[in-house]
Parts: sequence; structure tokens; C-alpha cells
Amino acid sequence: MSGPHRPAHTSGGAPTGDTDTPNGAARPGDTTGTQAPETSGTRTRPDAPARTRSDVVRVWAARLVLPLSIALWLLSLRSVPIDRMRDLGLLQVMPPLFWVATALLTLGFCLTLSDRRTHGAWLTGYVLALIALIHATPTLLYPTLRYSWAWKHLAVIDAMIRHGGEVPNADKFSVYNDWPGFFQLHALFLRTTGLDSAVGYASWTPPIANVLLLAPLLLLYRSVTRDRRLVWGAVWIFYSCSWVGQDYFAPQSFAFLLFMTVVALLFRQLRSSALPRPDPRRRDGWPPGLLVAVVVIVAAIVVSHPLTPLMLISAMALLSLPRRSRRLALPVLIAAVVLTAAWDATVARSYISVNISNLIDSLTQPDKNVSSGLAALGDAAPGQILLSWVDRGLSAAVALLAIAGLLVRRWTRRTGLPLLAAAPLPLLAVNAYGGEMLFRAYLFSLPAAAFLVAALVLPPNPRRRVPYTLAVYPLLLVMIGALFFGYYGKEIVNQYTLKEVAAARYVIEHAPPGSTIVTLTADVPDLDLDYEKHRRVQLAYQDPDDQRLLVRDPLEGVTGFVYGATTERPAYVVLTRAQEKNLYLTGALPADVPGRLESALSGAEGFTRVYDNGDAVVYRYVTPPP
Amino acid sequence: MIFLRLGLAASGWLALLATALPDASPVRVAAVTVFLLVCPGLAAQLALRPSGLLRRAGHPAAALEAALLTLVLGLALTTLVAVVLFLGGVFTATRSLLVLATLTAVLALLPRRSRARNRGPQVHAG
Repeated sequence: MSGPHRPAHTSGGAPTGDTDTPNGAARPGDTTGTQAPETSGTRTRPDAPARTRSDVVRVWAARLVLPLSIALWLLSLRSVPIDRMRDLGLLQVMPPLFWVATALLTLGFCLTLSDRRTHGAWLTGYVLALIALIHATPTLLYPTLRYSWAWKHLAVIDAMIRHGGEVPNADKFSVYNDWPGFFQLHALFLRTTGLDSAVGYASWTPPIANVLLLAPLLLLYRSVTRDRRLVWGAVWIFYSCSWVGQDYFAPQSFAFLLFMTVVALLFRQLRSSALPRPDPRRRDGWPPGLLVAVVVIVAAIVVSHPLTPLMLISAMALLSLPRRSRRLALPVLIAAVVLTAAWDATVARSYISVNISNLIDSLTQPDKNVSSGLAALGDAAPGQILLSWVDRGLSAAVALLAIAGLLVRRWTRRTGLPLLAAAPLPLLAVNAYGGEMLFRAYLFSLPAAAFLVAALVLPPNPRRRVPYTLAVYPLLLVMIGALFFGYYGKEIVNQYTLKEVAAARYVIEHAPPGSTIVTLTADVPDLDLDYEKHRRVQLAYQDPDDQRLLVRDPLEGVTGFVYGATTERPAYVVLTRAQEKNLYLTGALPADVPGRLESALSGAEGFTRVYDNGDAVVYRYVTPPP
Repeated sequence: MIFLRLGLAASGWLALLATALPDASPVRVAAVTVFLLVCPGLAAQLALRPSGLLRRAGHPAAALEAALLTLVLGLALTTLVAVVLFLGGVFTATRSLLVLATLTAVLALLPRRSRARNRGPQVHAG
């Protein structure tokens, strides 16, 4: 950085003599920092002191640990008894070698981070290995796509292809008609390539989505500081704390990548950016061409996801407050508001008009939204109670550390990141988002919060760089340990067997249009295929009276929902392994209900067992003549 | 640069040609995937911000930004094309690739401003 492009905060009233800077010698974007050579990989400076013997040992140790930990991780996957998962999911079946690989990888990363001359490629390698270790492990272990919602999204793509767009009689799936971008992007891809289904590549979405996020994260952090240790430390903390699992095959993961790209491009254009700007002669604001590109991306967000445009509007509104980012944030804010209003008033009008009353209700009871994301712990499995507390602990720790970072490292207040971290908070008050709002707010806050945490725990200290960096090792271990609770703890429900998929296929192939399909929970892979043709009943999520009847008398509880079924429009009761596990895990219904229901159905009048493969049982029901 | 622009202009038509191959054949999947992930986004960048793409190509952050924008802009354009065709009730595989190929070709072949064209790769300290 040179000449006229001083950081905005240096000319914007920063106290003279403020030495509270990201690298101890230079403010972000300053010209005189000792960290300047760190912007990209290894640059040997003529005046750099020679490496001591311990430096050399540390560097080589870091280079050995990366391949070693990857090898140990892959070896650990050879024999994982996933069928023995209980209430802590993968956490209790991963072999010790997996945890050794995780701890080694974290140590190797700290060693690499402590050496300012190690090439950036090593840090990239460590982060990619971390992403693979966390997010590719389930994909490599499971026989088929994980998570019921991912299966649901495959069904939506299939239905949109069959109907050439809007799916009629979509019922609860109608929200996807109103924000179809993600689904129609995949529909286009499937139709043009001739692939049958997205199931093959959907399994790899979590690792791929996280790898893609690395680019906007790096651009964002490198726009704020040139301290490489801080940049990569924040990246590591982001991936170590991103436990909410919104990286699967879903509109949210797609829209989040687009959101982060817009944010990164904006920070990159700030006058205070620590990165060289594409056009240094430009004083402020967007280059017109880039603004057009940003508006195109915003439009893609608006047509793909209901919540992300609101998060973008909130973020841009807050970033419009300080003068230094106003000329960049305001045009994006206007574009986002206009496009969102236009979309909601036209294509998404049906959904908005139906749900506006819920929105008004939630506005009057904001505390309900804040608490709605917290699990009801009444009858949950013991492990889930522990898991819930660990999740809360990690989220609270990130929030507290980020606030501490903001207070202690005063220079971060001038970066815009605190505003970005706070951006989801207004949304907490106005939208419950199906009880998910707290988790989504965490997701959108995390990129900025991770940097504030990194700024706190990786203070600039060129003289004691090594001990200071290695001192964060225990903290990083705790973070990633807590992440595994949140991310792997519910895998008993998210993992399916091929037999469960086969049972669902049987039902879909045999159920005539107009049939009723009854399950206990939503955890049946691929049962949503042809969703517009069938009526679905999920017993665990009915009115409390119906639930109590089901618990008291399972047969009567089911019959109430299927009575009147005819040979032309029969009903199917589908009981599977994962549903049983879900009830055990969450306690939505007593864990003995599946067994009692199955006993009651076998032999009951009107119910015929038509399919049984060990992991799934299907009963067909036709109401007997009076 | 002229080869890049001509290549981009042709890429969509090659992907369209590949759809004549049997469903899910590896060549067809590869041709369409590469086109969708790279070409519309790259062509849009050439049209919208040639300076960002060319002048600072040597800087790692600029390369990262260009790569990210290529992918994300391409996905965004493909999404918008798909949504418009589906909303209009006229979606077919051929039509969608036809629109994207035309869009890519137009963006790639748009005349550049001389200022941007004449300015060779150079590094500003920013």
C-alpha cells in the first residue's frame, strides 16, 4: 500500500499515537508495517534474521505433520462401526486414530502459523485438510446421502423438472416454488448433462461448500489486515466453530456463498483495504462494472432463498452507517431492497401473504424467536442434553470472545467487521424461521466473529511470536472438539442405509396418486419423491391431543389419520430405523412407540404388511367395509 | 487475449453440441460442467471489469478474487437464466444452453474500451 491510499480510519479521526494495531507496527493497510511481506506466501527479505535450529525443526515438523495427519485420518476411516452409533452419533464410534489425526493437524497448523516464512500453500493445505477431516468423513463413511433435508431437496428438483417449473399441490413444499433458484439451477444442470439425479454429487456438498467459502473468507480477512497469522488463524477458527451444519445440499449453503462473495467484494473495495485495489485511482465507491456483477449476484440470492436477502439487507444497512463504507454498502442495500421487494410482491407473494400474520406475531413477541432455536430437552437422550449444552457453550464462547476482541483490540472497531457480526441480530426479533433463527444468526455472524476472536487470541508480538501462537493450541483443540459434538452428535438420525432408501422407493413406485403416506418423523430418505401426488402425515409433529392418543393407543392414533383409505387411494405406514433413532434421540415421542405401533399394526384389520427388509417395514391400509 | 475471448465465445456452442451425446456420457457431463462453472462468469468479468481481471493478474488476492467471481457470477447468471425460463414455462435443456451460450458469446466479444485494453499488466501498490 502506498501513497494516497491511506486507510480510511487513519484519516477518520483515529487517535494520534494509537499503537493498538493489528501487527504491532502498522495499522491495516498502512505502508510501513513489518508484516508487509506476509501478504502472500514466502518472501525472503534480505534483512530477515537467519532461522535458528529450533526454527528449522519446527518448520520441518509442520511439513511432516500435514501428510502424517491426513494419512492417519484416512487410515482411521477403514473400520468405523457406524451401526453402533447411539446418542452421540459419530462421536462415540470414531476410532482413537481419528482424534489423534485431528489433534496432530491442529498442532501442525499452529506450528506452521508460528513461522512467518512458511509458504502460504502449507497453510492452505492445513485448512483444506481440516475441511476434509470434518466434512468429508461422513460422506466417505456412509453408503448414501446423509440428512433428510438433502433428500427433500432432491425431490424438489425432480418435481420441478417434471412440471417444468412450479409444482402444483405442493402443500408444505410450496415455499420452494417461491424461491426456486437453487433447485432450478440444479434442474438446468441435470437436464443439460443428462444425469438422472443430483444424489451422486449432493453427498459431496459439505466439503465442497466449505472449500468454496475459503475464497471469500480469505478476501474478507486479507482486506482487513496483512497479518498472515491473523488471517489464517481466523479462517481456522471459522471452520472450527461452524457447527450449525448449514453446508449441505440446500439453498442456504448456495446463498451463503453468494452472500459472503458480496461481502468480500465490498470489503476489498474499501479504501482501508489492506489488499491492493484493482483501480487505485478510484477514490471511493464501486467500479461500475463490478457493481453490475454484484447486483447480478444479489438477484441470484433473492430468487434462491427467503432469509439470506434479509441478512444481506441487514448487513448492508449497518455497513451504510459509517462514512467509510457507506458509498459501497448503500448501492448494494438499495439493490437488495428493490429486488427483494419486487420478488416478494410477485413470485413469492403467495407465501408472503400467508405468512405475514406469523411475521406480525413474531414482531410482537421477539423473545419467542430468540428462544425458539433452543432444544426442548424434556425427554431427549442423555447424550443429546450434553450435546445441546456443548453447542450452546461453543456459541456463547465465540460471542463472548468476539466481544472481548472488539473491546481489547480497539483497531478492529474500525474494520466494519463488528457491524457484520451484529448484522443478523435485528432478524432475531422479526423472524422465527421455523425455530432456526438463532442458528442462522450464528452462521451469518461467524465469519466476522471468528476474526474478532482471532484478533483477541493472536495478539501482535513479533518477539514472542512462537510461544504466543502455540499458546492458542489448547483453545483451538477445545473449539474443534466442541464442533464435533454439534456436527457429529446427531449422525445416528442423519445416516441412512440403502435398505431404507429401497423401502422408500418401493412406496413411491407402488403408491397411487392421492395415497396417504404416514411416518413417525421425517427421517425417511427419498420418501418425498413425487410429494405433490401424495398426502404426508408425520405423527410426531401433530397436535398434542393426537400425539397423546398415539402414545396411549398406537393403532387408534394412526387409524384416525388414514380412515377412509380406499383401494384406489390407500394409505401406507412406513416405519424405519432412522425414525426410531430420531425418537430415541429427541424424545419427540416415547422411544417405545415404534415397537408398539408395529406390534399393533401386524394383524390389525385393514393393515397388510407389504414390505419388510430389516431396516424398514411398510404397511398398506385400506379401510375395511363396515 | 483474443484467443481467450474467441474460446469463450465458442465454449457455449461446444457445450450445446455436447448435449447431442447420450445422457450422462462423461464427455457431455465434463463439457457442460466446465462451461457452466467457468465460461459465463469469465466472459462477464471480461465485459464488466477487464481491469480487475487483467491488470492485477499477478497478485494472489486478485487471482483469488477473479476465480471466485468467475465461479459465483457464472452460477448466478445460470440461476437467473434457469429461473426466467422456468417462470416463462419455456424451459428446455437446449434453450437454457442456447441462452447461456449467446450471453457468453456476447459478453466475451463486447468491444473493450481502449483504455482498459492498452493498459498492460502492471502492479499498483494500492
